[in-house]
Amino acid sequence: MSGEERMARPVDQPDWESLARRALTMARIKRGALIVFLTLVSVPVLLPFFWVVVISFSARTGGVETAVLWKACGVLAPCVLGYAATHVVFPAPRQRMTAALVAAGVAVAGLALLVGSDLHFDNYRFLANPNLVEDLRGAATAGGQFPWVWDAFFNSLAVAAASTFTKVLIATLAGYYLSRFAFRGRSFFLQSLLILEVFHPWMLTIPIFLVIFWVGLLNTLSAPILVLTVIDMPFFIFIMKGFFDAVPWDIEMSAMTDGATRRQAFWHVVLPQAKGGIIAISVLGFIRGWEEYVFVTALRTGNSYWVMSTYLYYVAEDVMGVDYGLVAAVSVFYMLPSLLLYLFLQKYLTQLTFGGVKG
Amino acid sequence: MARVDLKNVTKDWGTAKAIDDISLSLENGEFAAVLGPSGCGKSTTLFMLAGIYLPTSGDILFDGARVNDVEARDRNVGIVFQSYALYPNMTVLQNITFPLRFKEISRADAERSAREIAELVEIEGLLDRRPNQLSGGQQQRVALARALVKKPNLLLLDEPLSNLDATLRLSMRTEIRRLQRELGVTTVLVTHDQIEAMTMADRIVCMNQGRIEQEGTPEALYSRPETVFAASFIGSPPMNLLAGEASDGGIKVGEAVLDTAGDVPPGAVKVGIRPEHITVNGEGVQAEILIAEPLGRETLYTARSVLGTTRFLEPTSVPRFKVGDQVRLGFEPEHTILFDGNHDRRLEGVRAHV
Ligand SMILES: Nc1ncnc2c1ncn2[C@@H]1O[C@H](COP(=O)(O)OP(=O)(O)OP(=O)(O)O)[C@@H](O)[C@H]1O
Ligand SMILES: [Mg+2]
Repeated sequence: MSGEERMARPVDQPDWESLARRALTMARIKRGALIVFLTLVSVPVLLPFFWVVVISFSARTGGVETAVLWKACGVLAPCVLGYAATHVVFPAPRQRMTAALVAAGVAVAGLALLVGSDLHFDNYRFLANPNLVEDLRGAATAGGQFPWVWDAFFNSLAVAAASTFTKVLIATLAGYYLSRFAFRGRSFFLQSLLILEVFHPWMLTIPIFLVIFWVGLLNTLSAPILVLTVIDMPFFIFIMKGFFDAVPWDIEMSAMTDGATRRQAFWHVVLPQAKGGIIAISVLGFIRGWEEYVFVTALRTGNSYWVMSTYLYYVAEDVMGVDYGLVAAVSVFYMLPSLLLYLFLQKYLTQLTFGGVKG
Repeated sequence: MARVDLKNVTKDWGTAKAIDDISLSLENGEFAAVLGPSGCGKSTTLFMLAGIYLPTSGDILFDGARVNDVEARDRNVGIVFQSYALYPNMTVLQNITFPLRFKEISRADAERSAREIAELVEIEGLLDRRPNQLSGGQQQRVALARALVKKPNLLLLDEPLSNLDATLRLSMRTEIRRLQRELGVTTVLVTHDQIEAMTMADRIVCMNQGRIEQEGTPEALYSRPETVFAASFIGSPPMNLLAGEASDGGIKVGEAVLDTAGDVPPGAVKVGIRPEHITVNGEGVQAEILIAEPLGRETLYTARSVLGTTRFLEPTSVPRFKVGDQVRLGFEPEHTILFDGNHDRRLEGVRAHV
């Protein structure tokens, strides 16, 4: 009987210290196992990225130096694993910081020593020189008009920023309205938002093309901006509605008895609490626009504009098999903004699961 | 500071009546408590006063002027919500100055008033914190300060003490009462705690199912409840209510027949007697103690007799009787209250005794 067991305990005093030690050891072992597991799982995901970066700094025209790759891996893998191990053993932030610095130092020194002479920036020449392809066979295929990377960069930026801005603005206002106001057709509206999510937007490519053609926006940047804005809208409205649902009524009512108009209450009190949602959909929206390929290619009939995705595709088509280094360098350049955004704002993206998409 | 009147106010939610024709007048500077069970429409009444809800029909008057169509922000009403509703994105100081942002007051003046009011509610040391770094009692004070800083015409408190522990509740009770007297602001406190209402308010408005059951001073509600609901809701432990049948020969309750004084109309009645007005071991009926509960200063007994089950209080901290003891129970006749059994309303000028 459990009752009798409980009675027996006080006679036979437990050894608190050894229990605490055992709990701590178990916790460490579990954490260590978790880190090892996650490291192993992420290897196949991270390795290609890692390769692309190394190739972009090491490849020379004509082929990939596999030896450099393996040497770089040989230096970096132990550093990462070593850091993971110290992370488990030393719980204090200061110690972890030291471990990270040591690992980074060892990695840099190791790379410099083993592959330092193989690293170069030649592959990034496309950032400075629009005519890079003439030294390759590309001059013929590109008809002498190889796109200039900064054109593509700023076009992509424009597509991503403009569509994000519109999406966030409309989704925020619509989400608030759906969360707070009762109006005829509200539940129908919410249901249709969900139904729209069922269909993949690519299924609509042809009708979208026709619409864009008729309104005369074909071959302009406005076309992908508009289409991207519309495509993400239902989902974003839903996310924002979820965030506004989580803001209590009381607070808004309180602001209004405190002398604020509804608009002021929204601006000063409600909006700051949905900030996480706004940042999250901004990041999602921006990355979506930055990476868009299908609609930017579908809505232009010639080479009327270039964006980063088409630029990368073009470079790959043109020089693949000849200059892996160039393709890798363009890829790295293309990845960078998404990566930076994600790194700095990931805390808001993880909120999406909590702040939540709920009806 | 304002005189406030509600005239035949109703509020419907769809087909459901949340407030059913209530009329009420509050004097300037008066402290009224709206008391009633959960869902009876207390918050709804409060929100109509604040201008958050519009009444379906009827008028709300501030100082004699109809304010139905005046927006919440123009009514200059301070409100403390049950959840406190502090703005999480602002510091305590910003919370308190928020109502002044919309008035033509310089920043420095606003901050000065905020600090003054913060001192009054004793939170001057917390001004730089965020609401989520405060305890429940501190949040409550901040909410109070925010409601008071704009020198409101009317202060509305929606169960402000229900999230606090017993000790804190006791001290906040006196605190709020002191503040209200000092500032002389007309105040409506909503609560379902009858002790809170009795101790704090000049006047209690007892509500049930969207209607006012009775209003009056705490003493009046306690000693002369007009309805069975008011009688059972006010007082702790609650009043004994014995169902009986009146005829010429007296009132038959259970097996016993009570003598009456005054004209009791024949038919169903309810006899009410508070636990402290039952006499022990004087004249009366034989009863057996079922439960003895020491309450600290006194002891509450539950006993069974020919009258049914009754509860009575004895002013001894150590129980005088134990379970199974036999006692004689009688009524103090001047404290018995008779209700018409069909309408649950008090019958004037009649008494009963065992
Ligand atoms: N926004 C609303 N829509 C529909 N019905 C409502 C709404 N607000 C309140 N009600 C209904 O009106 C009635 C009164 O509600 P109210 O909030 O005033 O109760 P209360 O007395 O404050 O109760 P509590 O002590 O639980 O806060 C309840 O039956 C409630 O269901
Ligand atoms: Mg309420």
